[in-house]
Amino acid sequence: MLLTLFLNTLKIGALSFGGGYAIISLLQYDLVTQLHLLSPGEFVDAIAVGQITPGPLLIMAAFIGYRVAGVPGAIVALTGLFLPCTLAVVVLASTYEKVQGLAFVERAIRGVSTAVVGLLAAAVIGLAPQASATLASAGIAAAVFVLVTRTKIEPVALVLASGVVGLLLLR
Amino acid sequence: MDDPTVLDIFLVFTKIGALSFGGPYAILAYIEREVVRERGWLDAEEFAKAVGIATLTPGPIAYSAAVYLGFRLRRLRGAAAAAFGLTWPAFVLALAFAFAYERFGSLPSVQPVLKGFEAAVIGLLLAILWRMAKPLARNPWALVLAAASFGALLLRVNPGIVILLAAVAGVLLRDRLAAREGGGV
Repeated sequence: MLLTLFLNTLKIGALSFGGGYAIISLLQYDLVTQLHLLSPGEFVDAIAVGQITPGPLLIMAAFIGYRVAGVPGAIVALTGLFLPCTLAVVVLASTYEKVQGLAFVERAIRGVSTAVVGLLAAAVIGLAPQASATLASAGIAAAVFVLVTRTKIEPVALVLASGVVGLLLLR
Repeated sequence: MDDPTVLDIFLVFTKIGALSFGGPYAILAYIEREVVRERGWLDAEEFAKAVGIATLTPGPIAYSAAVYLGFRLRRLRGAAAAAFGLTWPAFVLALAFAFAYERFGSLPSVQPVLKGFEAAVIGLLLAILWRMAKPLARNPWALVLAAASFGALLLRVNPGIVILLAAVAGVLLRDRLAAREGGGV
């Protein structure tokens, strides 16, 4: 189990170009759709944990790893995800001048960044029916969307507030 | 310029890792303030290079930038100090949440709270999507590529394969995906 988790997160870590949001789509496909290591509902809860903890969203993988295989699972999942980019940064740090000139590298990254928009859209479509099934939960999702795009309220505050609203409306 | 020790690097990135909320760019801004403006460990040019490298590597942008800055300051040990500093506070918190979730997540009194969280996540993801999609709207090539990726995923194509194909498409399209008016994708 730990080896499966490590190999999958390692692969996902190596593929998550374009700013990190590709991770959501990759984790969902591998761990939820293919391997059934956690349910779609648990996956959305993991994203919520990523949002209410500080630092990169990717920390949600610690939550997923714990769900799958306890504390060792959490450590293995995070190590797998962070190892490829850590190595890539260290290697690039000494060769950046050469790589920077290579137009095709930047073009490839731009292609991936563009595709990630489509990947994330598909992920949201996959998760939304479950997470915003009722009128009240769809209303919460809509309110959060408007508040994030129109105001400067911190997302973490909106997630926590939605928990309170859920307690009042979603029982 | 001061000469930070590995411990200094670890402590500053721990502070950033514990206090930075609000997505990759908010974290980057926090790193810039702490490392460049407040402490003068590195200059703005070096920071810009960190962001450039973070864009070229997989993984979260803020994390990659932190690893690069740590590496510039103290080579491998600096990179490790920045990596662990930035991630351990949230790691411990996420473990605590996972533990509480295991214990209390299925309780009837906790379920509505989780449902509220889940609904909020959908709203947040839509907002992120909105922000990422807006620059594409004026570029037909980018729209087609994003739409193709979206369609491929609905057809259950492995997103890893979509990413590799998108990289190839980016190279073949040369500069047609470049944002028309500043910013970048």
